[in-house]
Amino acid sequence: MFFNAVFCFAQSAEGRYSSRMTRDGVIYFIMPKSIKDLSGIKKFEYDITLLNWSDTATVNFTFESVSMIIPDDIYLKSGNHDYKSLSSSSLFIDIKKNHYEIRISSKFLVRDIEKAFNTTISPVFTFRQEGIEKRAAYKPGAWKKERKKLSDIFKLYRYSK
Amino acid sequence: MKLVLGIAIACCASSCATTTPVAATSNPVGNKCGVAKTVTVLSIFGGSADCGINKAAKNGGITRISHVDSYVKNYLGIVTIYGTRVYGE
Repeated sequence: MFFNAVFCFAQSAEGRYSSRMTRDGVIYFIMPKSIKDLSGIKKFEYDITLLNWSDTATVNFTFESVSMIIPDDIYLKSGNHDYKSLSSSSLFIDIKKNHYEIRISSKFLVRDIEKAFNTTISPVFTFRQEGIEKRAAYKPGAWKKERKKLSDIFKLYRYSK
Repeated sequence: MKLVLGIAIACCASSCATTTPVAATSNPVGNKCGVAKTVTVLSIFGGSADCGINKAAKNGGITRISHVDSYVKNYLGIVTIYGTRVYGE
């Protein structure tokens, strides 16, 4: 019974997002999450903003790299599917010890993000800096816990439209 | 033994979270949100990250702030997360 209670608690999306009323509708903000399966970068943390009156989502992410070059295109890979961002731009670059902390704002179609997140294997954020591909994904155990929470939040977004 | 282990795990999975208002302006809520946070362990280790309003606004790409909340999440008094959430446009 206690293990079930812990399991249920661990799977709840409560606290994973916040919502706000605006004149146009409801904003759902999926709180920042660090993901640890990285290639070519030191740290990766992303958050998602959903607007229930819009079909695009803003995905902002921060990563640390030895290069300060801004990536051109951002992709969300899921299995054999690649979902390209509609647009991307840099928010800021800061110096962090001997690395650069780069914050990027990108836009994706909500339906693409939903498809990418609706898989048993973690979606992969990929981009290129100076021609070198950099990747970030969840570790398998972390994705298993996170997938249901994100699915519930996207359902909220869908049903609130 | 299993009962004790279950209780221990349930306790470890428990947390306390509080959100409090910091500021509100007459600017519209907008469609952006930014968060900045720092994590401390036993109030001794960590806690050096910037979790101020400026960092949160930068993270969200916000240039006009509508309102600001701060939050604290505490896991059994061992791990504490201090955060600032900024809304605006």
